[in-house]
Amino acid sequence: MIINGIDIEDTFAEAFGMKVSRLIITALEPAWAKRAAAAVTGFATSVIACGVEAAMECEIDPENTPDGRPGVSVLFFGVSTKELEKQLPRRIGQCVLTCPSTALFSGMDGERKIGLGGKIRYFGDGYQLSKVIDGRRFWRIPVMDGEFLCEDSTAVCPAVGGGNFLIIAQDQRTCLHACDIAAAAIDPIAGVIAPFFGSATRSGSKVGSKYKMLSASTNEAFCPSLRTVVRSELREGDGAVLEVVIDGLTADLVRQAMRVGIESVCRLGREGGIRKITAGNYGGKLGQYHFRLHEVLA
Amino acid sequence: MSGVELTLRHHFEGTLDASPILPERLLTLNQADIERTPLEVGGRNLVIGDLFSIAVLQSTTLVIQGPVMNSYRWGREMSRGHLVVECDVGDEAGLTMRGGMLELRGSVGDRLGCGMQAGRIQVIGNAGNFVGCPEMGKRRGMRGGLIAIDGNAGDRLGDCMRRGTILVHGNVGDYAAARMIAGTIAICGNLGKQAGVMMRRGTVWAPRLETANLSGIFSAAQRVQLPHLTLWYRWLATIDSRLSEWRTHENDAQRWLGDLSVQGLGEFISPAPR
Repeated sequence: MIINGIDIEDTFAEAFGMKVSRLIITALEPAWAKRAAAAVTGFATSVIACGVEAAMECEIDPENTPDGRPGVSVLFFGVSTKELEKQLPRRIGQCVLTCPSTALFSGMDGERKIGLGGKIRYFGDGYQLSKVIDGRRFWRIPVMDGEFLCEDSTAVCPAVGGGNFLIIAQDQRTCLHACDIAAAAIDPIAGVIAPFFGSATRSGSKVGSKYKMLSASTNEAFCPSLRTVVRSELREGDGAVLEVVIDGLTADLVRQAMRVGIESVCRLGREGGIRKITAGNYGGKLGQYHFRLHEVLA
Repeated sequence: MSGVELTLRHHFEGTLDASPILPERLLTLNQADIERTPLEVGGRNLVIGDLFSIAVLQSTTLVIQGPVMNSYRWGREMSRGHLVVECDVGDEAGLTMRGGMLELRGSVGDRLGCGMQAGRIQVIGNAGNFVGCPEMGKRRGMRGGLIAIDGNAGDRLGDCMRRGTILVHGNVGDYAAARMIAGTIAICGNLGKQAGVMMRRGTVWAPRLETANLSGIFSAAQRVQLPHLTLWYRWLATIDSRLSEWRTHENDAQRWLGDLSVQGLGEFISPAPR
C-alpha cells in the first residue's frame, strides 16, 4: 500500500490486554489541575520499568467535573489490577495529595474496584473524615490549604495497550515534525493516550538482550547508525525512526487512533521527507491484539 | 407485577401492626391470597380482607388509603418495591428497612426509620422523636439509606446514627445528632437545644444553626472551604429541587467541631455568609 508516495508496510502492530483506570483531578485553577496531572503521569511511559503507562486524556470544563471546578482526566494503564492497585495510591499520595487545591475522583464505572482515598486516608492521622454522597464514598483529608477530597476507590476495566506505528523519515527533524502532527491528530480522541511525551519514543525495543539482566533492548533493525552492520529494516536514505505508542480503552479506539495518526503523517507525503510507515511486533506470539496496518487504513 | 390499592373499609379498634403489608410480599400474590394475609390488630388475629378492600392498579406500587393513624411498623424490614401510605401513621415506620421506597403522605409517629439499613423513606408531613435512632435494645442507629421529611421532626433526630442521610425541611427538636457516630443530617429549619451532644463523627448541615443550639462543648465557629460541599449540594438538588437554593460560592462554610467532651470529630456546617 502506498499513500502520497509513502510505503505502508504490510505488517501489524502487536498490542496487549491491559487494565485501565480513569481518574479526574480538579483544582481551583486549571493550571494546578494540569500540574497535578503532569506530576502523577510522570515516569509512566512504559510498563517495562515504570509500573504503569499514563497520560492526560483531556481537560474537563467545570460544569462537567464532580465538584464544579476545572479538571483534567488521566488514564492509567497497567499489566494487571494488582499492579494498578500498587501504583495508583503511591502516585496519588506523592503527586496529587501534595498539589495545592486539588481533589481526586474516579472517572469510570466498573465492577472491579481498587483503593484510592481508602489507602491514603491514613495521612490524615485520625483527623480524616469519610463522607458518602450519592452512594460514593469520599475521604476528606485535612491538609495545610484546607481539605484534600479523594474518592475512596476507582474502577478498573479491561483495555488495550501497545498499539503502535513507526515513522521512518529522511532525517530526525522531519520525523519529529511528523510525530507532532500525529500527536495532534490523536489527542482529541477520548479514551486513548500516547504515554510517551510528545506521543513518540526513539527507543523502540525488542524482547531480550545479549545481557541477561535486561528484558528489553534496542531494536537494532531500526537504528540508522547500524544499518550497514546488522540485518536492518531500513533502506539507504532512511535517517530516523520514531515509534508512536497508543493505549486505549478498547481495540477499536486504538485502531482509530492509529488510523488518524498514520493518515496525518501521510499527508506530509514523500516529498515532505516521510519514507515509510511500519509497525512494531514480536512475531505475533506475545500480544493478543494484532492491528494490521493495511486493515487499519482500509 | 401490577400494583394494588388497599382501602380501609371501616374504623377498627386497637392498633394495627402493619408489618405484613409489604410490596415485595403482597404484589406477588393474587387478590384472594392478599385478602387472606394475616394481620394483628390490638391482639386479635385478622386478615387483610377484614379491614381493607382491594383494587388492582396499573402501576407497580402498593397504595394504602386510610385513615390508619392507629397503626405502626409500616414498611418494617421492607427490602424492595414502593409502598405509599396516603394518611398519617403511628410509630416505627420503616423499622429496619433494607431497601425500596416508603412514601408516607401524612405525618408519622416516633422512631421513624430506626435501624434502617438502606432504601428511602419520604414523609410529606411531620415526624416524631428518635428519627433514625437504634432499634430497641441496639446501640447503633440508622446504618444507611435516606429519610426525607418535608415537615418538622421531634427530639433526638439521628440519635446514635451510624450511616445514611436524614433530610428535614422544617425544624427539629432538642438533642439533634446526639451520640451520632457517622452519616449526614441536613436540617433546613431551626434546631432545638443541645444539638450534637456526645457526637463522635458525622456531619450536620444546618443553614440556620446558631452556636446557642449546640451543646456547650463544640469548638468555636471557623470559616473553612470544604471541597465536598459542591458534591453535597448537587446531590441534595437531585433529591429535592427546593434545595438547589443552598448552593454557595466556592464551598465556603462555617464549621463547628465536637463534641470535644468525647474527643468527637463531628461537624456542624452552615453556609458562610457572603
